Amino acid sequence: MSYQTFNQRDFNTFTQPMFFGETVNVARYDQQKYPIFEKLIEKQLSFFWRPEEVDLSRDRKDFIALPDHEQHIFLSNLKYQTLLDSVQGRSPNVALLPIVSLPELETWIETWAFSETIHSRSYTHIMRNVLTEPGAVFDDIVTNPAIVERATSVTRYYDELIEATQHFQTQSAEWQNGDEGRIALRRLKRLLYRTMVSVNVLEAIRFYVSFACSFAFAERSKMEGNAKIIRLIARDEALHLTGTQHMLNLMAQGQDDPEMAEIAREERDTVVEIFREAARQEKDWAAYLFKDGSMIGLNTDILGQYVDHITDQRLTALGFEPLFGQPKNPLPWMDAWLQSDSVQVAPQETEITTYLVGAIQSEVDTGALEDFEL
Amino acid sequence: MTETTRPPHTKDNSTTDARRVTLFPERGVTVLQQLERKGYRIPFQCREGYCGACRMTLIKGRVEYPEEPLAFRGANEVLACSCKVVVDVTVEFRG
Ligand code: FES
Ligand SMILES: [Fe+2]
Ligand SMILES: [Fe+2]
Repeated sequence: MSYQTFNQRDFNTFTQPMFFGETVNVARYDQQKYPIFEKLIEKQLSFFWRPEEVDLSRDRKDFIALPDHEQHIFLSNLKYQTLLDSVQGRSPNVALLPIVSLPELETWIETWAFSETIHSRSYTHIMRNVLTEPGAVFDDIVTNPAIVERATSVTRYYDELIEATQHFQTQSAEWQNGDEGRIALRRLKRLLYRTMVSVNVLEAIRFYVSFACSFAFAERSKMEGNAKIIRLIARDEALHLTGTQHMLNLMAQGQDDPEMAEIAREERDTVVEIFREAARQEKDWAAYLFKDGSMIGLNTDILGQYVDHITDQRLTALGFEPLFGQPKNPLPWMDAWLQSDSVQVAPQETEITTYLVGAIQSEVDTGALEDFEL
Repeated sequence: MTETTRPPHTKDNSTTDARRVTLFPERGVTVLQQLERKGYRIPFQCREGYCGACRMTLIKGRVEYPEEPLAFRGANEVLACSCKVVVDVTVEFRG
Protein backbone atom coordinates (compact mmCIF):
# COMPACT_ATOMS: atom_id res chain seq x y z
CA MET A 1 0.00 0.00 0.00
CA SER A 2 1.40 3.37 -0.98
CA TYR A 3 1.68 6.56 1.03
CA GLN A 4 -1.61 8.30 1.73
CA THR A 5 -1.71 12.04 2.22
CA PHE A 6 -4.58 11.73 4.68
CA ASN A 7 -4.81 8.40 6.46
CA GLN A 8 -8.53 7.78 7.01
CA ARG A 9 -8.15 5.21 9.76
CA ASP A 10 -8.98 6.24 13.28
CA PHE A 11 -6.14 5.52 15.73
CA ASN A 12 -4.69 6.81 18.97
CA THR A 13 -1.56 8.89 18.43
CA PHE A 14 -0.15 7.75 21.78
CA THR A 15 0.08 4.19 20.46
CA GLN A 16 2.18 5.26 17.49
CA PRO A 17 5.96 5.12 17.22
CA MET A 18 7.86 8.03 15.67
CA PHE A 19 8.25 6.19 12.36
CA PHE A 20 6.70 3.25 10.48
CA GLY A 21 3.40 3.26 12.36
CA GLU A 22 0.25 4.70 10.83
CA THR A 23 0.81 7.46 8.34
CA VAL A 24 -0.35 10.80 9.74
CA ASN A 25 -3.73 12.39 9.14
CA VAL A 26 -4.91 15.46 11.08
CA ALA A 27 -2.13 17.99 11.67
CA ARG A 28 -3.08 18.48 15.30
CA TYR A 29 -0.91 19.41 18.24
CA ASP A 30 -3.43 19.34 21.08
CA GLN A 31 -2.27 15.83 21.97
CA GLN A 32 1.38 15.10 21.57
CA LYS A 33 3.30 11.95 22.25
CA TYR A 34 6.59 13.87 22.32
CA PRO A 35 6.06 17.58 23.14
CA ILE A 36 9.79 18.18 22.67
CA PHE A 37 9.26 18.37 18.91
CA GLU A 38 6.80 21.23 19.23
CA LYS A 39 9.27 23.06 21.45
CA LEU A 40 11.92 22.61 18.78
CA ILE A 41 9.51 24.01 16.19
CA GLU A 42 8.80 27.07 18.30
CA LYS A 43 12.49 27.66 18.95
CA GLN A 44 13.35 27.30 15.27
CA LEU A 45 10.64 29.78 14.31
CA SER A 46 11.93 32.26 16.88
CA PHE A 47 15.33 32.05 15.16
CA PHE A 48 13.97 33.14 11.80
CA TRP A 49 16.43 35.28 9.85
CA ARG A 50 17.12 36.30 6.27
CA PRO A 51 20.55 36.34 4.67
CA GLU A 52 19.81 39.59 2.84
CA GLU A 53 19.96 41.34 6.21
CA VAL A 54 23.68 40.83 6.42
CA ASP A 55 25.77 43.29 4.48
CA LEU A 56 28.67 41.71 2.59
CA SER A 57 30.19 44.68 0.81
CA ARG A 58 33.38 44.52 2.86
CA ASP A 59 33.66 40.81 2.22
CA ARG A 60 33.98 41.46 -1.49
CA LYS A 61 37.01 43.69 -0.92
CA ASP A 62 38.45 41.20 1.55
CA PHE A 63 38.03 38.35 -0.89
CA ILE A 64 39.75 40.12 -3.77
CA ALA A 65 42.72 40.83 -1.53
CA LEU A 66 43.09 37.21 -0.34
CA PRO A 67 46.05 35.26 -1.74
CA ASP A 68 45.12 32.50 -4.22
CA HIS A 69 45.46 29.61 -1.79
CA GLU A 70 43.19 31.35 0.71
CA GLN A 71 40.62 32.03 -2.00
CA HIS A 72 40.76 28.29 -2.71
CA ILE A 73 40.16 27.52 0.99
CA PHE A 74 37.30 29.98 1.25
CA LEU A 75 35.53 28.90 -1.92
CA SER A 76 36.03 25.16 -1.38
CA ASN A 77 34.62 25.48 2.11
CA LEU A 78 31.66 27.43 0.77
CA LYS A 79 31.07 24.79 -1.92
CA TYR A 80 31.08 22.08 0.73
CA GLN A 81 28.60 24.02 2.87
CA THR A 82 26.43 24.55 -0.20
CA LEU A 83 26.47 20.83 -0.90
CA LEU A 84 25.60 19.92 2.69
CA ASP A 85 22.64 22.29 2.85
CA SER A 86 21.43 21.25 -0.61
CA VAL A 87 21.16 17.78 0.87
CA GLN A 88 19.67 18.89 4.17
CA GLY A 89 17.13 21.21 2.57
CA ARG A 90 15.36 18.32 0.90
CA SER A 91 16.40 14.97 2.34
CA PRO A 92 14.65 15.11 5.71
CA ASN A 93 11.44 15.78 3.79
CA VAL A 94 11.94 13.18 1.07
CA ALA A 95 13.27 10.46 3.34
CA LEU A 96 11.36 11.00 6.58
CA LEU A 97 7.95 12.45 5.74
CA PRO A 98 6.71 9.27 3.98
CA ILE A 99 7.41 7.20 7.09
CA VAL A 100 6.65 9.56 10.00
CA SER A 101 3.73 8.72 12.30
CA LEU A 102 3.40 11.68 14.68
CA PRO A 103 2.10 15.11 13.60
CA GLU A 104 4.42 17.07 15.90
CA LEU A 105 7.43 15.20 14.54
CA GLU A 106 6.22 15.62 10.96
CA THR A 107 6.03 19.38 11.49
CA TRP A 108 9.45 19.47 13.16
CA ILE A 109 10.93 17.72 10.11
CA GLU A 110 9.34 20.27 7.79
CA THR A 111 10.42 23.22 9.94
CA TRP A 112 13.94 21.81 10.16
CA ALA A 113 14.24 21.34 6.41
CA PHE A 114 12.78 24.79 5.77
CA SER A 115 15.49 26.40 7.87
CA GLU A 116 18.06 24.57 5.74
CA THR A 117 16.64 26.30 2.67
CA ILE A 118 17.47 29.62 4.34
CA HIS A 119 21.04 28.37 4.67
CA SER A 120 21.12 27.44 0.99
CA ARG A 121 19.82 30.86 0.01
CA SER A 122 22.47 32.48 2.12
CA TYR A 123 25.27 30.79 0.14
CA THR A 124 23.88 32.33 -3.03
CA HIS A 125 23.72 35.67 -1.24
CA ILE A 126 27.37 35.31 -0.23
CA MET A 127 28.55 34.26 -3.69
CA ARG A 128 26.58 36.97 -5.48
CA ASN A 129 28.19 39.55 -3.25
CA VAL A 130 31.70 38.22 -3.16
CA LEU A 131 32.17 37.03 -6.74
CA THR A 132 31.59 38.58 -10.12
CA GLU A 133 30.90 35.16 -11.62
CA PRO A 134 29.22 32.92 -9.01
CA GLY A 135 28.00 30.47 -11.67
CA ALA A 136 31.32 28.71 -12.10
CA VAL A 137 31.59 28.04 -8.38
CA PHE A 138 28.15 26.43 -8.25
CA ASP A 139 28.87 24.43 -11.42
CA ASP A 140 32.02 23.05 -9.88
CA ILE A 141 30.05 21.42 -7.04
CA VAL A 142 28.85 18.64 -9.35
CA THR A 143 32.08 18.22 -11.32
CA ASN A 144 34.95 18.70 -8.86
CA PRO A 145 36.03 15.17 -7.79
CA ALA A 146 36.87 16.25 -4.22
CA ILE A 147 33.36 17.68 -3.75
CA VAL A 148 31.60 14.84 -5.58
CA GLU A 149 33.27 12.39 -3.21
CA ARG A 150 31.84 14.35 -0.28
CA ALA A 151 28.40 14.22 -1.91
CA THR A 152 28.50 10.44 -2.17
CA SER A 153 29.27 9.99 1.50
CA VAL A 154 26.66 12.43 2.79
CA THR A 155 23.80 11.10 0.66
CA ARG A 156 24.42 7.37 0.72
CA TYR A 157 22.29 6.49 3.75
CA TYR A 158 19.48 8.84 2.82
CA ASP A 159 19.31 7.34 -0.65
CA GLU A 160 19.29 3.74 0.56
CA LEU A 161 16.44 4.55 2.94
CA ILE A 162 14.46 6.38 0.25
CA GLU A 163 14.84 3.54 -2.24
CA ALA A 164 13.84 0.87 0.27
CA THR A 165 10.84 2.94 1.44
CA GLN A 166 9.65 3.43 -2.11
CA HIS A 167 9.92 -0.28 -2.75
CA PHE A 168 8.08 -1.16 0.44
CA GLN A 169 5.31 1.36 -0.05
CA THR A 170 4.50 0.15 -3.56
CA GLN A 171 3.83 -3.43 -2.40
CA SER A 172 0.37 -4.72 -1.52
CA ALA A 173 -0.88 -4.67 2.07
CA GLU A 174 -0.81 -8.46 1.93
CA TRP A 175 2.88 -8.52 1.03
CA GLN A 176 3.69 -5.91 3.64
CA ASN A 177 2.02 -7.97 6.37
CA GLY A 178 3.58 -11.24 5.26
CA ASP A 179 7.01 -12.71 6.04
CA GLU A 180 8.80 -10.79 3.32
CA GLY A 181 7.18 -7.56 4.41
CA ARG A 182 8.22 -8.06 8.01
CA ILE A 183 11.82 -8.66 6.99
CA ALA A 184 11.70 -5.65 4.68
CA LEU A 185 10.29 -3.47 7.47
CA ARG A 186 13.04 -4.48 9.85
CA ARG A 187 15.59 -3.61 7.19
CA LEU A 188 13.86 -0.24 6.70
CA LYS A 189 14.17 0.49 10.40
CA ARG A 190 17.86 -0.34 10.25
CA LEU A 191 18.33 1.98 7.30
CA LEU A 192 16.44 4.72 9.15
CA TYR A 193 18.66 4.32 12.19
CA ARG A 194 21.81 4.56 10.06
CA THR A 195 20.39 7.57 8.26
CA MET A 196 19.74 9.39 11.53
CA VAL A 197 23.30 8.66 12.64
CA SER A 198 24.70 9.95 9.38
CA VAL A 199 22.51 13.07 9.62
CA ASN A 200 23.94 13.66 13.08
CA VAL A 201 27.44 13.26 11.63
CA LEU A 202 26.58 15.71 8.86
CA GLU A 203 25.16 18.42 11.11
CA ALA A 204 27.19 17.92 14.25
CA ILE A 205 30.63 17.10 12.78
CA ARG A 206 30.93 17.98 9.10
CA PHE A 207 29.23 21.34 9.51
CA TYR A 208 31.26 22.25 12.55
CA VAL A 209 34.48 21.54 10.66
CA SER A 210 33.30 23.90 7.94
CA PHE A 211 32.35 26.52 10.55
CA ALA A 212 35.94 26.40 11.82
CA CYS A 213 37.17 27.38 8.35
CA SER A 214 34.66 30.22 8.07
CA PHE A 215 35.57 31.60 11.48
CA ALA A 216 39.32 31.26 10.87
CA PHE A 217 38.99 34.04 8.29
CA ALA A 218 36.95 36.22 10.62
CA GLU A 219 39.51 35.68 13.39
CA ARG A 220 41.84 37.70 11.15
CA SER A 221 39.10 40.27 10.49
CA LYS A 222 38.50 38.91 6.98
CA MET A 223 35.15 37.87 5.51
CA GLU A 224 33.26 39.01 8.58
CA GLY A 225 29.88 39.32 6.89
CA ASN A 226 30.26 35.70 5.87
CA ALA A 227 31.05 34.80 9.48
CA LYS A 228 27.97 36.65 10.64
CA ILE A 229 25.83 34.47 8.39
CA ILE A 230 27.64 31.33 9.47
CA ARG A 231 26.92 32.19 13.11
CA LEU A 232 23.21 32.35 12.35
CA ILE A 233 23.51 29.02 10.56
CA ALA A 234 25.43 27.56 13.51
CA ARG A 235 22.66 28.59 15.88
CA ASP A 236 20.15 26.69 13.73
CA GLU A 237 22.43 23.67 13.46
CA ALA A 238 22.76 23.47 17.25
CA LEU A 239 18.99 23.04 17.38
CA HIS A 240 18.95 20.51 14.54
CA LEU A 241 21.52 18.30 16.16
CA THR A 242 19.51 18.42 19.38
CA GLY A 243 16.47 17.21 17.44
CA THR A 244 18.44 14.35 15.95
CA GLN A 245 19.96 13.38 19.30
CA HIS A 246 16.43 13.18 20.73
CA MET A 247 15.28 10.91 17.91
CA LEU A 248 18.33 8.66 18.22
CA ASN A 249 17.94 8.38 21.96
CA LEU A 250 14.22 7.69 21.74
CA MET A 251 14.99 4.96 19.25
CA ALA A 252 17.70 3.42 21.41
CA GLN A 253 15.64 3.51 24.60
CA GLY A 254 12.97 1.22 23.17
CA GLN A 255 9.75 2.62 24.65
CA ASP A 256 9.00 4.14 21.27
CA ASP A 257 9.51 0.96 19.24
CA PRO A 258 11.09 -2.11 20.86
CA GLU A 259 12.34 -3.42 17.51
CA MET A 260 14.14 -0.14 16.93
CA ALA A 261 15.94 -0.53 20.26
CA GLU A 262 17.08 -4.01 19.22
CA ILE A 263 18.37 -2.60 15.98
CA ALA A 264 20.13 0.24 17.80
CA ARG A 265 21.94 -2.37 19.89
CA GLU A 266 22.89 -4.42 16.84
CA GLU A 267 24.11 -1.30 15.08
CA ARG A 268 26.55 -0.07 17.71
CA ASP A 269 29.62 -1.11 15.75
CA THR A 270 28.19 0.36 12.57
CA VAL A 271 27.58 3.68 14.34
CA VAL A 272 31.19 3.82 15.46
CA GLU A 273 32.30 3.01 11.91
CA ILE A 274 30.12 5.78 10.47
CA PHE A 275 31.75 8.27 12.86
CA ARG A 276 35.26 6.91 12.21
CA GLU A 277 34.77 7.04 8.46
CA ALA A 278 33.40 10.60 8.60
CA ALA A 279 36.37 11.73 10.71
CA ARG A 280 38.75 10.24 8.15
CA GLN A 281 36.90 11.92 5.28
CA GLU A 282 36.96 15.27 7.03
CA LYS A 283 40.72 14.97 7.49
CA ASP A 284 41.14 14.14 3.79
CA TRP A 285 39.05 17.17 3.05
CA ALA A 286 41.29 19.31 5.28
CA ALA A 287 44.29 18.13 3.25
CA TYR A 288 42.51 19.21 0.06
CA LEU A 289 41.63 22.62 1.51
CA PHE A 290 45.21 23.37 2.49
CA LYS A 291 46.90 21.68 -0.47
CA ASP A 292 48.34 24.95 -1.79
CA GLY A 293 49.12 26.45 1.60
CA SER A 294 47.74 26.96 5.11
CA MET A 295 46.39 30.07 6.69
CA ILE A 296 47.29 31.78 9.96
CA GLY A 297 45.75 29.76 12.76
CA LEU A 298 44.56 26.86 10.64
CA ASN A 299 46.23 24.03 8.75
CA THR A 300 45.68 20.36 7.96
CA ASP A 301 46.98 19.19 11.34
CA ILE A 302 45.06 21.62 13.49
CA LEU A 303 41.82 21.07 11.62
CA GLY A 304 42.44 17.31 11.95
CA GLN A 305 42.76 17.69 15.72
CA TYR A 306 39.51 19.62 15.73
CA VAL A 307 37.89 16.75 13.82
CA ASP A 308 39.08 14.32 16.53
CA HIS A 309 37.82 16.62 19.28
CA ILE A 310 34.37 17.20 17.82
CA THR A 311 33.92 13.55 16.77
CA ASP A 312 34.56 12.35 20.32
CA GLN A 313 32.27 15.00 21.75
CA ARG A 314 29.41 13.89 19.49
CA LEU A 315 30.03 10.18 20.08
CA THR A 316 29.97 10.54 23.86
CA ALA A 317 26.76 12.61 23.61
CA LEU A 318 25.13 9.51 22.13
CA GLY A 319 26.52 7.26 24.84
CA PHE A 320 29.44 5.81 22.84
CA GLU A 321 33.09 5.51 23.78
CA PRO A 322 35.35 8.20 22.31
CA LEU A 323 37.58 7.18 19.39
CA PHE A 324 40.44 9.63 19.73
CA GLY A 325 41.07 10.01 23.48
CA GLN A 326 38.95 13.15 23.81
CA PRO A 327 41.59 15.70 22.81
CA LYS A 328 41.17 19.33 23.82
CA ASN A 329 39.67 21.75 21.37
CA PRO A 330 42.71 23.05 19.45
CA LEU A 331 40.71 26.08 18.27
CA PRO A 332 39.77 27.88 21.49
CA TRP A 333 38.35 30.82 19.51
CA MET A 334 35.67 28.56 18.01
CA ASP A 335 33.61 28.83 21.19
CA ALA A 336 33.43 32.62 21.01
CA TRP A 337 32.19 32.44 17.42
CA LEU A 338 29.70 29.68 18.14
CA GLN A 339 28.15 31.36 21.16
CA SER A 340 24.75 32.40 20.02
CA ASP A 341 24.26 34.91 22.81
CA SER A 342 27.08 36.76 21.14
CA VAL A 343 25.66 36.48 17.63
CA GLN A 344 24.75 40.10 18.28
CA VAL A 345 28.20 41.19 19.30
CA ALA A 346 30.58 39.72 16.79
CA PRO A 347 34.13 40.04 18.06
CA GLN A 348 34.71 42.24 15.08
CA GLU A 349 31.94 44.62 14.15
CA THR A 350 30.08 44.02 10.94
CA GLU A 351 27.39 46.23 9.53
CA ILE A 352 23.90 44.93 9.98
CA THR A 353 21.44 46.69 7.84
CA THR A 354 17.93 45.78 8.79
CA TYR A 355 15.67 45.49 11.72
CA LEU A 356 15.25 41.71 11.91
CA VAL A 357 18.82 40.95 12.81
CA GLY A 358 18.54 44.09 14.92
CA ALA A 359 15.81 42.35 16.86
CA ILE A 360 18.20 39.50 17.56
CA GLN A 361 20.71 42.11 18.72
CA SER A 362 18.38 43.51 21.31
CA GLU A 363 18.15 40.15 23.04
CA VAL A 364 21.64 40.56 24.46
CA ASP A 365 21.78 39.17 27.94
CA THR A 366 24.13 41.47 29.77
CA GLY A 367 24.74 38.89 32.47
CA ALA A 368 26.02 36.44 29.89
CA LEU A 369 28.26 39.08 28.36
CA GLU A 370 30.23 39.44 31.56
CA ASP A 371 31.69 36.05 30.84
CA PHE A 372 32.31 36.74 27.20
CA GLU A 373 35.95 36.46 26.32
CA LEU A 374 37.66 37.29 23.09
CA MET B 1 31.96 35.05 48.16
CA THR B 2 35.47 33.79 48.75
CA GLU B 3 36.81 31.23 46.37
CA THR B 4 40.06 29.49 46.93
CA THR B 5 39.89 26.78 44.29
CA ARG B 6 42.59 27.43 41.70
CA PRO B 7 41.54 27.53 38.08
CA PRO B 8 42.51 24.24 36.47
CA HIS B 9 44.23 25.69 33.40
CA THR B 10 47.80 25.40 34.46
CA LYS B 11 48.50 22.14 32.65
CA ASP B 12 48.91 22.34 28.94
CA ASN B 13 48.71 18.79 27.68
CA SER B 14 46.57 18.12 24.68
CA THR B 15 43.96 15.82 26.15
CA THR B 16 41.21 16.66 28.57
CA ASP B 17 40.84 15.20 32.05
CA ALA B 18 37.66 14.28 33.85
CA ARG B 19 37.20 16.72 36.71
CA ARG B 20 34.85 16.48 39.68
CA VAL B 21 33.65 19.61 41.37
CA THR B 22 31.23 20.02 44.28
CA LEU B 23 28.83 22.96 44.29
CA PHE B 24 26.40 24.33 46.87
CA PRO B 25 22.99 25.92 46.45
CA GLU B 26 23.22 29.55 45.39
CA ARG B 27 20.20 31.64 44.60
CA GLY B 28 19.83 32.79 41.01
CA VAL B 29 23.10 31.24 39.81
CA THR B 30 23.30 28.38 37.34
CA VAL B 31 25.71 25.47 37.64
CA LEU B 32 27.54 26.83 34.59
CA GLN B 33 27.95 30.28 36.20
CA GLN B 34 29.19 28.71 39.43
CA LEU B 35 31.81 26.71 37.55
CA GLU B 36 32.90 29.73 35.52
CA ARG B 37 33.31 31.77 38.70
CA LYS B 38 35.62 29.06 39.95
CA GLY B 39 37.69 29.54 36.82
CA TYR B 40 36.68 26.49 34.83
CA ARG B 41 36.22 26.96 31.13
CA ILE B 42 33.12 25.00 30.26
CA PRO B 43 32.18 24.74 26.61
CA PHE B 44 28.86 26.34 25.82
CA GLN B 45 27.10 27.58 22.75
CA CYS B 46 23.59 28.77 23.59
CA ARG B 47 23.40 29.17 27.41
CA GLU B 48 19.70 28.60 26.86
CA GLY B 49 19.38 24.84 27.07
CA TYR B 50 18.96 23.93 23.43
CA CYS B 51 22.43 23.01 22.11
CA GLY B 52 23.67 20.46 24.66
CA ALA B 53 27.25 21.81 24.65
CA CYS B 54 27.31 22.20 28.45
CA ARG B 55 26.06 18.66 29.16
CA MET B 56 27.88 17.03 32.09
CA THR B 57 27.56 14.11 34.49
CA LEU B 58 25.77 14.42 37.80
CA ILE B 59 27.66 12.32 40.34
CA LYS B 60 25.49 13.23 43.30
CA GLY B 61 23.10 15.82 44.63
CA ARG B 62 20.07 17.43 43.04
CA VAL B 63 19.52 20.25 40.56
CA GLU B 64 16.40 21.98 39.35
CA TYR B 65 15.51 23.55 36.02
CA PRO B 66 13.56 26.81 36.26
CA GLU B 67 12.63 26.10 32.64
CA GLU B 68 12.69 22.67 31.03
CA PRO B 69 15.60 22.75 28.54
CA LEU B 70 15.26 21.47 24.95
CA ALA B 71 18.56 19.63 24.64
CA PHE B 72 18.73 15.93 25.30
CA ARG B 73 20.11 14.82 28.64
CA GLY B 74 20.58 11.27 29.86
CA ALA B 75 19.45 9.96 33.23
CA ASN B 76 22.62 10.99 35.08
CA GLU B 77 23.38 14.10 33.06
CA VAL B 78 22.68 17.80 33.58
CA LEU B 79 22.73 20.82 31.31
CA ALA B 80 24.87 23.19 33.31
CA CYS B 81 23.58 26.39 31.69
CA SER B 82 19.98 25.69 32.62
CA CYS B 83 19.98 24.27 36.14
CA LYS B 84 20.61 25.41 39.68
CA VAL B 85 21.86 23.47 42.65
CA VAL B 86 19.13 22.34 45.06
CA VAL B 87 21.04 19.86 47.21
CA ASP B 88 24.87 19.93 47.25
CA VAL B 89 25.94 18.68 43.86
CA THR B 90 29.01 16.96 42.50
CA VAL B 91 29.37 17.21 38.75
CA GLU B 92 31.93 15.64 36.47
CA PHE B 93 33.05 17.16 33.20
CA ARG B 94 36.04 17.21 30.92
CA GLY B 95 38.16 20.29 30.87
S1 FES C 1 25.07 25.90 26.54
FE1 FES C 1 23.56 25.17 25.17
S2 FES C 1 22.51 23.70 26.39
FE2 FES C 1 23.84 24.64 27.80
FE1 LIG D 1 21.93 23.88 7.48
FE1 LIG E 1 20.80 21.53 9.81
